[in-house]
Amino acid sequence: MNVRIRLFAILRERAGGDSIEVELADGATVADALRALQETGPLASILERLPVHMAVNREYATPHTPLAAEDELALIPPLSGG
Amino acid sequence: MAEADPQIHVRVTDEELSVDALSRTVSRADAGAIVIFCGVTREVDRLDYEAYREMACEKITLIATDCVKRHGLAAAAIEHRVGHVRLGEASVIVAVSGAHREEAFAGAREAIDRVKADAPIWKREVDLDGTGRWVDGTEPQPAPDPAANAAPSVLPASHGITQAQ
Repeated sequence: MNVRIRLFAILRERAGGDSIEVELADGATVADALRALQETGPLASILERLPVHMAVNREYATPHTPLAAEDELALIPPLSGG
Repeated sequence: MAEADPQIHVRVTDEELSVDALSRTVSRADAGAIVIFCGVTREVDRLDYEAYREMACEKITLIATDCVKRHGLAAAAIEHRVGHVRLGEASVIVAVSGAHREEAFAGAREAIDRVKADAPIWKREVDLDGTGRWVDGTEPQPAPDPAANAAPSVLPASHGITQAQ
């Protein structure tokens, strides 16, 4: 399945766009998506040093959270609001 | 849905924030205390804020609703700015009202701590010459288990919320 992941802040800048698409096997999890982004593409180097979380349908997910093509996905770098 | 809750007001906006307006928002006939926390840009020419707006609104609404319940507040209003925030301007305002100051101070404190820990918002420091850098942030902290709301005194320490003794 092909999933689109929204990007913000430093990740959006590094990727040069506000989302990135990743091809994943059906039944893939958050951990699989993060691994795919670490292996190749514009975010590979920054994801080596920056701890990111993934939001699935606007909730922080765990590495085991399963993904579906219609989910709203976002990469969340460390927060600095306030 | 919490959006319709008359006790709660939440906004993520690129407009300038107003302490007076937010104070009026939480003013209630039966509330003898209003506590306002205002986070202000300091030391740099400006901060540029960016939010995952939909999720930030949902998270902040949940936090405000939770703080009203947990501290018995009359009302809670939280606004966070996005875009350019110049030196001295407010980036975030938390306003809460309660019958007495104890719950108002405690509720406001919990609300701003949890907004900073949980809302997907980021800031970039920008100097006069336009050069900028994203501020090192902190990883999102899990919110308290909703099931614990009814009995806050039994929240496990790992939730990171200090309970009054």
